[in-house]
Amino acid sequence: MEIRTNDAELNDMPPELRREVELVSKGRRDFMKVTGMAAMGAVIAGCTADTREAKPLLEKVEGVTPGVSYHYASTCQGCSANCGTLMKVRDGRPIKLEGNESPMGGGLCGVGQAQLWTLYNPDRLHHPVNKAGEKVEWSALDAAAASAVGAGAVLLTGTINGACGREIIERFKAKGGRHVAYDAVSCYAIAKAHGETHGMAVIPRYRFSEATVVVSFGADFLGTWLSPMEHARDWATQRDLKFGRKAMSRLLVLEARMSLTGANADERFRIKDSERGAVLIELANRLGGDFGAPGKHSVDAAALDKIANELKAAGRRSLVVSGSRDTREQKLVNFINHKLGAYGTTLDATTPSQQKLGNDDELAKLLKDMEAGAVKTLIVWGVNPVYDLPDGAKFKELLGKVANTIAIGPRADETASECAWIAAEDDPLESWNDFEPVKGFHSLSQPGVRRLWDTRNGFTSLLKWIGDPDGNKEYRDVLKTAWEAGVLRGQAWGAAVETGYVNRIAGTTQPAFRDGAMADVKEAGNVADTGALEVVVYESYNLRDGRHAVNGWLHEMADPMSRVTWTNMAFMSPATMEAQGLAVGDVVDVSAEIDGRKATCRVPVMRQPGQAEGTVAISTGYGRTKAGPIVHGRGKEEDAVDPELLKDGVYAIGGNAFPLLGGKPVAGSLSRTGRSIKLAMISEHDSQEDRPILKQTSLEQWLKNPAAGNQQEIPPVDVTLWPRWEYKGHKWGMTVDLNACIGCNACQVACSIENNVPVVGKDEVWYRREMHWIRIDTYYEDNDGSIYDGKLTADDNPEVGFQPMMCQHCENAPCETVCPVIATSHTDEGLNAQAYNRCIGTRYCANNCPYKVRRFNWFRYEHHNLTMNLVLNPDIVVRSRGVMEKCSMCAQRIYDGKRAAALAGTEVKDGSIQPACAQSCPTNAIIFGDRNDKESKVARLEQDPRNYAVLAEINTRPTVTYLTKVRNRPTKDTELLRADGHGHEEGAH
Amino acid sequence: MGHVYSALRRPLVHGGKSLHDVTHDVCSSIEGKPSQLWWLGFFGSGLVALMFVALIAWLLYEGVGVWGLNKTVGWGFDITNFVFWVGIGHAGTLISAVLFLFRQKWRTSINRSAEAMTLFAVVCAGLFPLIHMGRLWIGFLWVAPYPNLRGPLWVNFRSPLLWDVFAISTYLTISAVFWYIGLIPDLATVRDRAKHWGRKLFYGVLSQGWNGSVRNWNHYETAYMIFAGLATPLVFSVHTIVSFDFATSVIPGWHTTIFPPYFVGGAIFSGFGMVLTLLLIARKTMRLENYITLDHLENMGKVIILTGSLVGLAYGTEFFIAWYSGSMYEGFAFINRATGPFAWSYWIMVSCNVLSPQVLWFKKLRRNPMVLFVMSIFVNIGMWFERFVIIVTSLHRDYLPSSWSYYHPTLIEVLTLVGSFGLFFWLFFIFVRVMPAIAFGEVKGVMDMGKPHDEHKAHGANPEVSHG
Repeated sequence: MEIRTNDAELNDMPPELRREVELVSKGRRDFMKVTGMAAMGAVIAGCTADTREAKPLLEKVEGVTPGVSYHYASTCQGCSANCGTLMKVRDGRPIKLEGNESPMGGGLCGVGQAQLWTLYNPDRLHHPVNKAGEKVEWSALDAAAASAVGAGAVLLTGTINGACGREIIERFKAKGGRHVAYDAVSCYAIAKAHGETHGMAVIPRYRFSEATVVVSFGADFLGTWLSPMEHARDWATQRDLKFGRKAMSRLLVLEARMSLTGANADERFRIKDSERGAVLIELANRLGGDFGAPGKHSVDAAALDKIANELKAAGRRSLVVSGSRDTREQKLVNFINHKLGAYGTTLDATTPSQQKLGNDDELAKLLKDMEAGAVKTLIVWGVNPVYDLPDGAKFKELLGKVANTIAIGPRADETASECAWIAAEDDPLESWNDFEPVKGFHSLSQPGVRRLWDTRNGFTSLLKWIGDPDGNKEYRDVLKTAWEAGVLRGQAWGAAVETGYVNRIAGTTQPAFRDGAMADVKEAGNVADTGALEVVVYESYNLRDGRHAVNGWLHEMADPMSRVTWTNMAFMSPATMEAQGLAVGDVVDVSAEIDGRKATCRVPVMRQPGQAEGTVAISTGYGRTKAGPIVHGRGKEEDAVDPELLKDGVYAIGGNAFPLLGGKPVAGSLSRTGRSIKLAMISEHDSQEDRPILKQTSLEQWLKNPAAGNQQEIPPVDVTLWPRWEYKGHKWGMTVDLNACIGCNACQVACSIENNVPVVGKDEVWYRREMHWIRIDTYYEDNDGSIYDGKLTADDNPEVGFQPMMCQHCENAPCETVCPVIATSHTDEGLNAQAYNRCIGTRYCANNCPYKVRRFNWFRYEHHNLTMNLVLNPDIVVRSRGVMEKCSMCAQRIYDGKRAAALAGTEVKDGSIQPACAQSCPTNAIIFGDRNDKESKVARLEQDPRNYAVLAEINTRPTVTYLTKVRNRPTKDTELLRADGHGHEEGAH
Repeated sequence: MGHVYSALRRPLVHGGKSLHDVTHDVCSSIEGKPSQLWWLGFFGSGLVALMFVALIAWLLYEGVGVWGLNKTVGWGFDITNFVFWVGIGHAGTLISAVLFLFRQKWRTSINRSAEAMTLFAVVCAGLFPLIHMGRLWIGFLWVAPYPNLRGPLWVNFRSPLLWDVFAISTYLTISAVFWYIGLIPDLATVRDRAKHWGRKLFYGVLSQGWNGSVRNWNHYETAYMIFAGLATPLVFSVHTIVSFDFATSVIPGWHTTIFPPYFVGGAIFSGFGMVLTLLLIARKTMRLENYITLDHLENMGKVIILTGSLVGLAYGTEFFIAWYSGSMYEGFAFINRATGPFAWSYWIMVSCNVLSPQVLWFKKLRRNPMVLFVMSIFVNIGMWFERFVIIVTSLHRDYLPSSWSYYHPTLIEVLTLVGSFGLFFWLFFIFVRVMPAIAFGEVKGVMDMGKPHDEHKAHGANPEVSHG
């Protein structure tokens, strides 16, 4: 199939671009030949798909029009959630990943989007290697592997849930092999608990869209837990107060550290993990259980009564979740959900989540067998046990006892480098795969580019080694055959590839609850005291379990709570830090003894308001030593957490927290190293200083007065020296619903990728020179200091608010008048445009920007590697040193949308143009549209009493507006004061 | 100029100098071999100036990132240095033009070097807005409104930075011309004294055929008067326009109407501080005590205490208005100046600019060169910090607390400031070797024999005897 472009502009390609197309299109051509699949599922910009006549451009590549982007549906493999993605492929290379609308969700988190970096990052393996790192031939590797694989061979993987994938695993087992799967951050306790209480060892599918009261015991379901994008979207549908909706769900969180979910809670209670069992028992007792009197905990009885009553009132529309790794606690959670009648509405065990299929018991057995020398062959694939097992060092030792060790993976990581062979694996964006994240929901993954190097699909390797004839086929054909036999049920393969998924979700009657399983839960209420310091290990929001430590975009995606980049930290509450006599940036050793094993993690200290007293929280994913040059700093001793690691000028970023992970709450101790390092923060002040920036109110107040919390105390004086702008055609605008924003940073990563925003590194971020065009401002309420200057917070359990902040495209733009050369000017469509070529870099515009959203190119932030340059979006120029840049509201996407409408002879439809940030937002917090189109969402939201412009009082007249944040909790006195209009009279100091 | 001189006035030149003595004293310093001290100063400052050039080269090679600026604080040392040097430049024009129009005869012995100082300060000042640009190589061209083929893309007449371009270039031109016109009679004297043909040619060309006739003098005085008239408004306009860089913005701490008078007052203050520093050095090292007398120094001390009080008043007014306006942002900006992370710079500024000049209320101290010298250094430091405080403390914490940040200047920035002093002094050392450092033509005019003759007055008498 060939597509003729109707767009004359495209035939006028500049010669440089033509050359580039020629260079890269060969790969695409080969790929197209192999797959025989062309432009399916393509959302074609500027093309009419039904025109079949060929018209060569210069050297026409079948199915591809140079300069036109095609979208292909695929599946994200950034974490085990397996969200659907759309790959935007331009001139034979993927340049952007976006969420694919499906019953499983629609957004794509920052981690998922950043997978492009991993694809193009040239420091992955270009060919199979042996332990010494020398190149080997595939034939040699295959011969060695084939002789080793057979009866007793163990395949150690992460979760493999695809229909075809599992079938191949079955074939491996049929040859006498044994498959062990584990998840570095495990949810096995949930499955095990359900095995006992419901007779099905599964993790149910959670339906937050059905829940009106959600109680989370440390399950960070908006951040990292199971399927955060899906959960976030579902949860946000119950929080939406736009277009006439009046009801809102409640979120109650009881947790030790301040998680993203806790930050979005309506009410939050600080409990240590060791108190969780006791609180769960108290709650279960109030909901019809009789588990005796539990041990001590810090939640008062009245609060528990209130929670229980709220849950009871919501009945089957309530949902209790927990991130506990203790089966007994999970059984209590199951009991509560069962008593509330939630099974079948807010959680479903019959269409379970298959996102974490790891089995910790089998892993433990494997370790025993390895210890006993009973494992002769071990294939490690997709996991990094030397790094991510609590006792990784032990695993490394045990590897020595295995005769044949083979790794399948993209790089010689901590584990693979200990194996005899490494079968270089394709990047997920280069290969076919399938997934079944929820039982019945089948999702396909397809390549977006021909293999960049001599790598191979992991399944193909496996098939070859077990002597399966399918090993000689392209994996796509194996996949197709398997799907035709099982999944498709007569549906066309092509249609499945086009949509990216096949939905066969079908729930049945929920299994009965077995009361007998609750016999042993009483003890869960009496956990041994962890003493002065309890260690909490959690999955980081950017590097997750460590596999993304190779990714620069993610290193520079700030931690949403502390906004620190390029390291993990030991988070402590201000009071705990004071008690320990620590300051921000002090490097400490957090140590613990877990099951007789001594573990320690060396990280800098960070202050976290809202964290439970006497706890220290450390995230996973950092402290990797074999993840390529990116995990190493520039080799300055004062920046190294551990100068002893400073060998050959390199050191690990942060410390590995996995060793501190225990099945039970961990009692830790803390010792100072006497060193202190600089923390690279994107923002260091977390109080609004009582300024009306992130406006908020309570639901109760809002129901009485929809403009509650949105009083403009100082009305703007609308005077301007210059003539007013007229917008005869479009007037683009954006509205951000602060009720929907959860602070996940997906928009920030999306923006950076779409707009070629450079990654600048730790030193530059420390200087406060990160280049992000959009940032999430995190404000702590009732807090009169900042993390940075060390003042204690007025409230030790503050409320948190997130506010995405990008160029506000002011009508009276302060930046526009001050530029001496008119490098920034207003467009007739209401945007503030920046002409990079004209900019001479006086930085006056940035100084005069009240929102501080302009970013200056202090240096040449170029990619030094040509492969890495393939990641650049060809629609956007790469800015040179010395010029200012900022959010353009994705001007390139606006042009594309207008051109598509013009070619179709229609008006631009509301919602057809989506800037990258809005597109990626899992909760649809960012709404873009034409304010001149009275039917558009943004125009209708202008009438919403919640609508406001930040700093309206200085009369910048932004075209970006915000909707007040409404919290579903009792009204605070300060909010009542504001409602009476007395809020800021004394604010003038 | 038929002025009436009071016999009670102290003579402006001491030491019983004859007219020839004056010519000889001034010209000998540019005729003989330079002293070792001069060589030391020339090479010392030259080395520092070379470092300045090297630092700028490095900046152009690497990018503005070699400085410690960031997304919140886009201007730091660069624009602070710019405003500082422009301010220094004010005293020269003030002394030569404004004091000339007000018939302040005491100006004559100091105006030449003050004017030279103005020129060199403006040269230093002008460099900073250039090198602070991200893309100097095109920026220097694009800020000029020259005819081009870029259609409607021209300079932005709404931008205070463009006003700066005009203000600074006008100021530099007028100051240079004014300085040069004042030099012509003295250059002619140097030409006449020259023995070597090269010197004759050099000074001959520069003195443009001056022959000292009444006609020459008549034209000269008229021209000088006209240029003084032209330069006078510039004293007020240049720093007014520089203050617009801040006053027309929306940033709390910048957005204030007090800035034009406040900046002009501050500029005169800092300019006199620097003149005092230079003259005290020159007076000592070049033995000009008889020309730059304690009376001169005292007069300058009085100007300093006046302008120092003016800036002190401005500091107070800013705080009052910040409170009185009721604007929470404005209020915070000033509380933050005095108590925030940059409070140290604010208190250095207040101590140097408001507190230290208070010693000059005492006549004894006002006439003590050592006290004046120390004080003038304080004023220089204080006025540099004034600009730093205005620029950095206003920027680093403006509207959205999420963007608040600190500013960590790098060593390169600090050395660039030092380097600009190197250039300044290097130019000054060249000046005192090449040009008559004192306008002896004018000095003679204010000596007794230059005045309308008065039989009651003894020529060249010791002031202590005749007026004590």
